[in-house]
Amino acid sequence: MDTKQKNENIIEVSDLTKYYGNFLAVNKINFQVKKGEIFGFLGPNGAGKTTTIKMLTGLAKPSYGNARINKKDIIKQTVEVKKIIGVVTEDSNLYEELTVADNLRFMGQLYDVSKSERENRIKELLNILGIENKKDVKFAKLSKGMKRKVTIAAALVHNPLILFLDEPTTGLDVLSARVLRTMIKELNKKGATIFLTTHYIEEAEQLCDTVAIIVDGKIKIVDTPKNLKLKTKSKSLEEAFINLTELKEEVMLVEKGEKINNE
Amino acid sequence: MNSSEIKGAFYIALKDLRTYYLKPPNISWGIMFPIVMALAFIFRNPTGIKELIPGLIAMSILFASTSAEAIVIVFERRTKTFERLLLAPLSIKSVLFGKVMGGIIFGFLISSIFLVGSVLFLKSSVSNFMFLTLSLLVSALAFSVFGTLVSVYVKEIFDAMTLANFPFSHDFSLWSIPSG
Repeated sequence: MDTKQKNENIIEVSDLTKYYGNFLAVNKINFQVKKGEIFGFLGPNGAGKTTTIKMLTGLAKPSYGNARINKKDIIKQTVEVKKIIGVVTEDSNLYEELTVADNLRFMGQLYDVSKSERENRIKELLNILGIENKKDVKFAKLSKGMKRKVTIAAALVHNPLILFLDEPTTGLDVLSARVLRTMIKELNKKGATIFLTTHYIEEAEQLCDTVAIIVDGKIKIVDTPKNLKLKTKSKSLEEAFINLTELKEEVMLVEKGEKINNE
Repeated sequence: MNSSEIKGAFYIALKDLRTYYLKPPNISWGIMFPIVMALAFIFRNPTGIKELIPGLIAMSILFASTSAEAIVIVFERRTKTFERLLLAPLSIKSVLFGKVMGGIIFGFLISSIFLVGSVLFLKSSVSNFMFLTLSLLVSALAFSVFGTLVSVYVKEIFDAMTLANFPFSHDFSLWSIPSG
């Protein structure tokens, strides 16, 4: 990918807002994601990360505002947008009764990938993920980490331009999480733009080119991890995150409480 | 609906048949239920069973299509696999069309088994085969769509079963298959 292409915005979000009844989940957010980057969307639990992903991927309709993915309108061209994105939701939601290969085959069929291309792609993905020996195993029989890998493979069968990963390493053991992070880096090297939500700050620091921090449905800041640390005069992204999310007082109270307990 | 949407709907139906409907417990239940019902009527009135066959076929479609359809969608919503379908590049109409198609095929298969059984063992006759097939398909469509509607209003599988079986308690199904 050349520099010009890398500087192009592949996701453009403007005033995106979502109400659930009277509850304002996402409040007029604006940001851009550049082609080929790993974009981290960080925030505490309930900040609006998943709701934002749901709006961008066509699972929830924005109450107000809009976004364009690869110049396509997410409201008016939802089906077109879905063709170019791959989504890994918080849950490994494939069909327990089907084998790994059959799950991937079904995903390829839904995305209208031709039979020969589909079979080649499945073989390639199973090889990349190192799970060729599991292709005939039922999804239900896999471990949590393995299920996560297959779910990621399912999102990649149609070779999407952008991969949305919602909390990809949540609940995984240290080794599986590390393998997944390496895999995300590899996918990005091959040209995929990655939109990642996580509440593991170290993960974002390791992986992301740009980070957006969302708190109570509002974007606090969008910048590179390095600039975020500089701007907040923090030693780590975690410290910067705490400062930006106004969790500093809570953290200090917890630390003080620990001190008292230790004494 | 373009060709890729139709193909997508077809694959959803195929997947549903494979994953849920055409499982031994479902097929045996689909066959056993009308047989048990028929036996109950035979014991009560051995001479009038032939007149009851159209109603029993209607019941087999009702239970096969409505209940199964509603349960499958509610189950998929719980396991979040339905979300996976909504993420596919298909309109919601195509996704539902695929779901309904699965229910139609299953209902039609189960009622056909019962129909063949009644022709072979009870010597029933079919006066208009085309009309009967059309009636079975229309009934399967109606009950499958009804199952889909039920699935929208409930969150639990048990609620889906209760609601889907509601018409049965009012003999709603019995008029749907004209005596073939």
